[in-house]
Amino acid sequence: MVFSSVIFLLLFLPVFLLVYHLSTTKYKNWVILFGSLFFYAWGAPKFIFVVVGSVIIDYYLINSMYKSKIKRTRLLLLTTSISINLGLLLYFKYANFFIDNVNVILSSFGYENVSWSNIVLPIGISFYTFQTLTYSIDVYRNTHKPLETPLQYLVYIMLFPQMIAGPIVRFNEIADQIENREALETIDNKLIGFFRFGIGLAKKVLIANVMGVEADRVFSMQENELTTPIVWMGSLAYTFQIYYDFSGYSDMAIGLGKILGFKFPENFNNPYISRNITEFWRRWHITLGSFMKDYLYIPLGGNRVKTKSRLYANLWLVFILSGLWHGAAWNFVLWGFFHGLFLILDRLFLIEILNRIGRYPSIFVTFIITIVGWVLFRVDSISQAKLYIKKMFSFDFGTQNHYIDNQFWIVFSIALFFAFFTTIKLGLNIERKIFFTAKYTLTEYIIGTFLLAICLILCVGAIASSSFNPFIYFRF
Amino acid sequence: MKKILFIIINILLFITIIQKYTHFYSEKQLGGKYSLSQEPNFNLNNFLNGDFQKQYDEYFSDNFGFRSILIKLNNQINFSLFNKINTFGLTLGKEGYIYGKGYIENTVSGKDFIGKKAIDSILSKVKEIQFQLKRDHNIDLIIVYAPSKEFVIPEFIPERYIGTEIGITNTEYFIQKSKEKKLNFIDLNNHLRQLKKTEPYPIFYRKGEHWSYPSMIKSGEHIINYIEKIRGIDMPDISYGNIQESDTSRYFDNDQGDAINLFFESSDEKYYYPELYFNYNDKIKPNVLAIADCYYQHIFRSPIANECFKNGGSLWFYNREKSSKTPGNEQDISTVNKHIEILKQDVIIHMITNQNLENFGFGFFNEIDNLLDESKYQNMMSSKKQLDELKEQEIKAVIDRITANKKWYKKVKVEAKKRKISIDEMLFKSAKHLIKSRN
Repeated sequence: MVFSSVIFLLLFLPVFLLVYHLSTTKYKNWVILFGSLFFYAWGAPKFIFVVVGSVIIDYYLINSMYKSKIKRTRLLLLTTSISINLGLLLYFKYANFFIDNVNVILSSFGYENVSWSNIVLPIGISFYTFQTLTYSIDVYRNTHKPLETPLQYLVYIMLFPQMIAGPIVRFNEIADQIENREALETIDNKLIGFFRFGIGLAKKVLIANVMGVEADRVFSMQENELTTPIVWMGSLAYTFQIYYDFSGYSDMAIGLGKILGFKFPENFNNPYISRNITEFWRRWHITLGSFMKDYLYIPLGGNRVKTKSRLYANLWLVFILSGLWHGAAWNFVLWGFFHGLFLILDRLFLIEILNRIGRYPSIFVTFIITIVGWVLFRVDSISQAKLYIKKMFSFDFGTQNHYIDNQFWIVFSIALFFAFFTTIKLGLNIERKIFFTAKYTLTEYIIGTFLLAICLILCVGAIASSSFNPFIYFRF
Repeated sequence: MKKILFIIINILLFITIIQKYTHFYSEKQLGGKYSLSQEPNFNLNNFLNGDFQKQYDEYFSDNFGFRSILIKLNNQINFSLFNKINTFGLTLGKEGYIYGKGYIENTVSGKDFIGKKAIDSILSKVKEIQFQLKRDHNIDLIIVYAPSKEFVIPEFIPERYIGTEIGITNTEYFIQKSKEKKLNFIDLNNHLRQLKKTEPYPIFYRKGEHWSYPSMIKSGEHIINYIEKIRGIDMPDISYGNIQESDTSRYFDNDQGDAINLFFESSDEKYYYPELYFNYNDKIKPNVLAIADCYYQHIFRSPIANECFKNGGSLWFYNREKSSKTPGNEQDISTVNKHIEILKQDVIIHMITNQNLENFGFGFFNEIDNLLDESKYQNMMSSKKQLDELKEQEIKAVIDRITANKKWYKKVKVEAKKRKISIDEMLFKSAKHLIKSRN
């Protein structure tokens, strides 16, 4: 079940919210748990047992770890917990990739391939695995005591607004809210949560999906159909698709969380106005970057390593692993490598150069680098990556007749506008007002409700239309 | 007040469920031809393997309250703001004319041209069959090239398609060769282009995929005149009474308009329906069988066929279905004894639209030798049954291959999404296509 589906918007969500708001505080976590279990089971009915089972085992492991006074035992139990969680991730997400590559090597030496039935990837495993890791590690570090009951831990992991696609909510950020969030369950937060949800839905349905049509079209074209402008157009479309899709989803998660009384961390901060790639990673998928920094980069030594080469190697490793986290394929590894490279170049000389050329030129250069990175992310193979990137810089203006309709151009303009709106002070102020106000005036709430209604109507109409495809009478 | 707003939002989310189960508001159904998913039955097995969820998703998406209004609103916004039609396969031309996108991109441009050699070979065979049918059975075979909007009124085709022609089209070459080989044929594209200059009613309506009703009648009359000429017979005379002018369309005249499902139905088009009278005195009604596609079906279900052909004539729709006078009573072609039926006929018409020319004949001319001889016909029928079974197994095997291949399966999913059909349907089409191209 995805947030932008008719069944979620018009069946699951209203029923869930009704039951949640009719429940007393004592039962709210139970309602969230059952709602989340149902939500997850709807998409992955068999894996629910794996997830619940591993979460419960993990809870008792970490509880035992917390209670133990012996450092060695604590470390052993922590290692066991991390191994189970990472082991599940490695198995479900990377086993197929591993076997495919082993078979490539075997084939090249003339050996018979290993036979293997492809494993299905459980939805959300990348996200909730990281959350289990933050729980284990935060408890180990005594950043926060463990949750009191397995129910609370299950709620933390399975919480449906953020389980499938983030934001990655760290245990210490949310622990108190699981136990008691009455202070956050205000009518203001609920209304603002709905507005945030509506904004996210509009970003996903009205912008990202439109961009996605063009991106899919270009990235499925044959080589002889591609020209430099076409590839750039498709890449730009994908650049906006992925931003509005992912940030829209995060907005919906944050909004839903707010309705339930949770305060999730922000995940995006206008990443395309970044002046360099280092800044980009402080603005894009913030919770992932933050997780990688605190749980991987810093344990590897962070900025305090003895040599620059060690620092750069660590940076590169972190980004290659980030790439791999996004998907079990070499193009994701290449994407991570690409970003890692630019992070190193930033530290070497690039930030200095970008600072010198001025604000807007540096934003432009960084945006171009990001677009090229997204091409690596989007393609199906390394060979396709080579083809597209070569086309991007080959100045092949060809004679292909590539029609793009008005809807795309208008939505593209809107996407471009809002992606860069906050480069000016007015844009920043408006963003602050819309996204970061704790309370609105009554008039603003009324306007917001009206706009939310319009948004829901437009989005549900668009979603419903996308699956409706009538034949013309007699036309078959 | 804030609580009231919160309640309003929740009511808004609930309102479609309320509508679904109470139908408190009377919704008009969506236009076009489609089927709605049925509510699936729940059992644990179905739930655990994910089938129930998939089917329920489809069922709910097809049946939630106010769905038709929301879809029409979305379509209207796209139409009014972006000049865009959401219906797959259609494109908006100038002055509100709607065209088939695929027809312009493939047929008018010549992209689907099957080659001169192929067409020469097909029509040479047709010539032989025409001769054989006449000589041995006194049956006249007539090829009718049905018109299409894109060929007859190309002036409203969107600007972006101008100059995209890559060469000769199937239509042009088929007609050229038909003339050279002196086949019995009628070119309705040309006939309607002539009518366009003289008739007071539209040949094609803005939002009609097919010819207008009066054009259809005139084309039917043209076919009758042709039959009379080649058989030397006098068929029932057609005369025209009043022409009813209407704001609302009948039959197929607004089929594209119905399928595009706009919120505001425009009423700027006038529709024309002539009254017809037939004179049967001392007239001959021949036995006419057509192997044809949708355009002929209009003639078949009109007074033209009903009044001028013996028993209303017969139609083998795409050579796969025996058509009925009213929709819904069609029979699979396997229920027809083709051998007996053919020998009863005076005239066999093969009417085919431009975009179907790559499948000229629909297999009829390949099997005609077997159809005319009884023992050959029986042998053919028994081999066909075996072949159908083998084909089914082959398709299943290809589908299994596709689903096991991650990249291929991903491409199929993308294409299914583009065409707005289910993944299963797309898998089937892909398998069929692969088998066809392999053969």
